[in-house]
Amino acid sequence: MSKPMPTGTSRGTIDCDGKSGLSRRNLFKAGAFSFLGLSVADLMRATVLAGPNDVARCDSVILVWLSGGPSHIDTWDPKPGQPTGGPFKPIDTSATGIQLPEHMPTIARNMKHCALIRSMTSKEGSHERATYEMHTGFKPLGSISHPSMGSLIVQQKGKRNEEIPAYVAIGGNQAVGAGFLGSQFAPYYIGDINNATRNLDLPGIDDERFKRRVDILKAVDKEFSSQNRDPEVKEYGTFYRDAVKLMYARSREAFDINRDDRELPYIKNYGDNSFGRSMVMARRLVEKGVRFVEVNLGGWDTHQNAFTAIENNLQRLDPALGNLIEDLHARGLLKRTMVICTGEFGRTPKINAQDGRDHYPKCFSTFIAGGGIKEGYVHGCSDAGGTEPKDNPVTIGDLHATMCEALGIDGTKENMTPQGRPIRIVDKGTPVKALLA
Amino acid sequence: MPCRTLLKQKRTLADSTKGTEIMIRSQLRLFAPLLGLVLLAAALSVVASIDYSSLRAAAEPAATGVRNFPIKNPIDKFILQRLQEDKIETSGLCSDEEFLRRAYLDVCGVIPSRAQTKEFLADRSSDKRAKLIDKLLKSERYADHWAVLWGDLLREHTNSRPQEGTERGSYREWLQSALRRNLPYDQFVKELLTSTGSSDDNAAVNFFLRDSESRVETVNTIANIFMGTRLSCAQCHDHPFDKWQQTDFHGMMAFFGRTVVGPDPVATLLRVEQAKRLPEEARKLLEPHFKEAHEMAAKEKEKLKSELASGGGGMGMGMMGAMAGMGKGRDAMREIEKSLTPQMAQQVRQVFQQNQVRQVLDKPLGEYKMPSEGDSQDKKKKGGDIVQPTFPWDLSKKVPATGSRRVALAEFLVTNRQFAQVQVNRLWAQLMGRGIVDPVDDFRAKNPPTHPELLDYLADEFVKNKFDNHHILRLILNSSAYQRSSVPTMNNRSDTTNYSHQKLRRLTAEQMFDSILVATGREKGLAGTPTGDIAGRIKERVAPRDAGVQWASDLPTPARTGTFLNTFNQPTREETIVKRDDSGSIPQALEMLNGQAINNAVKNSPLVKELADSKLHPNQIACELYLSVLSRNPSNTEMSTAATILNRAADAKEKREIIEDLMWAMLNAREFAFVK
Repeated sequence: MSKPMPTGTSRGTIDCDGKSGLSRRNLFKAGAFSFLGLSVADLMRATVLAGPNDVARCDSVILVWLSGGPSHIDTWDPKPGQPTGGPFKPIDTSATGIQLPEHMPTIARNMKHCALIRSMTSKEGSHERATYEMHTGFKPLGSISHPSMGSLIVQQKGKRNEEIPAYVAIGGNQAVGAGFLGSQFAPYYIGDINNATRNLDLPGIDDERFKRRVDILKAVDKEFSSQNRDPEVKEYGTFYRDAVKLMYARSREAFDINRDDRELPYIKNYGDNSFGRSMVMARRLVEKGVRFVEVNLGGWDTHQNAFTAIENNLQRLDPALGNLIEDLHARGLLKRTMVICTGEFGRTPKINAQDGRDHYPKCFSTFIAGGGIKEGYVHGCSDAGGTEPKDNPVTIGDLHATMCEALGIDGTKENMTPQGRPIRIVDKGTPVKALLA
Repeated sequence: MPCRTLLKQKRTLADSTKGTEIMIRSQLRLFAPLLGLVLLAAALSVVASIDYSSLRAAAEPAATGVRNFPIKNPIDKFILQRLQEDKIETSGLCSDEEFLRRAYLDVCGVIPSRAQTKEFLADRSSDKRAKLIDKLLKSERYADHWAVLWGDLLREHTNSRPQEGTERGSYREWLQSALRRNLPYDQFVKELLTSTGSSDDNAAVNFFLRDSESRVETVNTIANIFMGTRLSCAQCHDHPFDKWQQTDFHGMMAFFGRTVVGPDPVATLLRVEQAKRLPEEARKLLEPHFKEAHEMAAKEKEKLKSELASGGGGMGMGMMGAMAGMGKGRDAMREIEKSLTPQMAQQVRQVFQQNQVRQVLDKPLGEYKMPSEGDSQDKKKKGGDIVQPTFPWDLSKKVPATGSRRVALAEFLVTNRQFAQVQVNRLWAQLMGRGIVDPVDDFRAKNPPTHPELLDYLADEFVKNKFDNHHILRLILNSSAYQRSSVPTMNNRSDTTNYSHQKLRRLTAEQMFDSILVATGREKGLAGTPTGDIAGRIKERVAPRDAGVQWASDLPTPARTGTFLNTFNQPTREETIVKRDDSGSIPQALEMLNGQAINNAVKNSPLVKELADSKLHPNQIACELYLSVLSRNPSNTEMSTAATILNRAADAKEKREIIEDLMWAMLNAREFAFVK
């Protein structure tokens, strides 16, 4: 119903070099913007990214969240020849000495840019609690709602692009949010990738009419806002301002994935499905300076008929993650973008009576690449059966500390909860120096 | 060491202030041209020019002390005392318009309709506020609204997640029904704590089903919401900064040492029999078991329960045993699965899983054992020493040797002083924006009440009046303290704990949702909200309802991520929420600006149609819109502004669009989003 948008090549270019970036649509939008008092010059200024920071190896993080708890043995840590090794055959990868299951050919091809941690360990075996811990670094407490890593990174590092949200979550329905940091640092959530600009587009009215609405709003709002100057009232107004800003921002085209023909070949490579498209959007968002993107891929809670299910899941994960790495590398972005792929725990080496594997936090694996991570490297290993870490065990806290180290964040710093309780950014954990290049 | 911690805290605070400053500065640079717009005006209003309201207050002769403070009941006496001691003046009483909207939102969770507003404003009787309070407490919406609060506290889910019980809406229904009947609060808690059976017999068992077999969260919930105590730390170690010890936590656990949550095989089989997804082949094989279930169901329920309770006397047979995980039954299940294809067997398993009914029972014997360290399943099973039930808030309470431990616990709770204090404090916080003890779940020596006498008075009244929630609500709602304006004066601006002026409070997700329905005069639920079986089931089971209206309280919880209710901070109900997150966000603003729900509500608003088709003068159209959306008459300026815009309409189509835009703007105004 909304105003049709010009498509394809008439759109602005992605990089911002001033004049050439202004398409007809952008000019029109800039015109529409003038009613909010923002000039074209301001528009241009808003897209300039902050320069790289000296301490940091990494600017952005993409978390590929495999919800349900993926089986480490059938993904990152194959155990060929073991009685509990499962049916998948291992294949060689572009990284010397690293093997992956046969259903991961694209990732295998790009493994030379990536690292694996095969000695992850934790204690939480329930989905909700483990998901919370992997996102926040803390076990859930009834009394404190901890912020997720994405929120902490945005709080600590700030925005790289003022125009768009710094933390975006795509898919899933259990996003862990900003906790006590407040909704200012909460993820901007995209539920349906095919309708990602849902509330950014005008609801079937034109810019003129929207301008009239805002003018009326200004009049209606006057009395109340002059009488009540509570911080909450003020804050509520700033969210409106930022919302309108986002509607007209050039950078919002990162969300307009279905309106950009240039992405068609990438969508084909990543996989023409919700997950593939989400991963393409993740790359676009990072290109625009988004700090933290979380993409969800569910279906890993494989208690029954595990191997059929995992093979299906890998058919979506492999092309999307493999091509994302290849793509980021080709665009020179992998150096400063960390890609982490993990779930909340691993799964039992023992195969149960229903041909499935059950929850297993004691030993699992995490994929990690880019943003200063060593290339073609495996950190730690599990024992022969994949039942426990054999050397260099890595805790969730260690993983978070490593992420902070790469981003140039001091993980020992404390945030204060509204109740006045100091909470460290990383609770317990030390950076795994060996993982960093 | 403490000094170092303090220093560190100071530094962190300084850092964060600096950060904010930098952020504000950079935002100012980028958006300076935007500042003319009122959407932003607030951001700068710290330095803004003249505060008319405080000037007005200062000009009045009574400004040197407390003014406009009729003592309506003892609440006002306690509040006044503190205000006088601290030399804080009060804001005036709120207007009828403000009172009406505030009372509707606080008691019923929704703004008044245009007709209700007109009726109240036209009423000339002097006791009309008191009469309205009585009317609202009796209304159906009262139960709907307060069931949302209890849903947050008890983590009520309507999702069909059999492993967590909460049987598709039956918990909600139970809560709403208890509130509608104004079930005395001690009874309410007793019924939850001592419930047995399946949710089909007694939906109060959802209190236990919610957490399946584990009683850890049950203990946390009881401590937290009934006793205002944060006991959860003591599960694993003595509380770091409160008096609670690990033995307190596990003493509480021991009250549930004999409580079992398990499958209700009869009810499950009866449901499976009705399941459409059950393959025909399996149905044939299961036929004798269905028959058996029907026979069992026909037997006296109590008898069956006692058989089950005594360790499964009647449980050797068929499918029922299978669901109870017992030998013979499990074999029968295997036999059936063998004669099916693996795919079909899987489907049968799923059907059983999806239709599983669970029940809560007490075994006559059994002890709770201290969980031992380590992760090994063997160690867990063996457990540590036997722990006897102890009541942490009064260790002198002795559990009788015979009889239900849960009944004993319920009795200890409802006769404890703090139990009454916690509930009146919760009711106070709901209406006043802050607890006398705040946060409301943190009663302890180092967090004393701001008004101890008031807390005592309310608790006394509560106990004297048989735990009547309405009695306490009526006292608060009728007090001058509640009926104060939310506009601060120069003198009381910084007061946050003395109730010199009402606290502005954000509407909750459900209040927003329902109020948009009323404001636009809509008959049905907002577009883009989930409907379907679950909502239908709740709706059908909760009767009688206002015809056709689908309130937020009829919808499944928790709402899916990205829906209206979720965007406006409806909690996931995974953890107990004693206070909603009331912060705003960009997605909230976008939902209000461009969202499908709000724009369809405006586009299809019966009120818009009525006004567009009418021959009313633009001034009158403005009045009707203000009355319907903001529950008040417009000021002269507001009326003439609206009329001027309406007069610009070139034709009927444009007139209608302008009316839509006026309504849209009022819904988006900040005034709409706050209880003022």
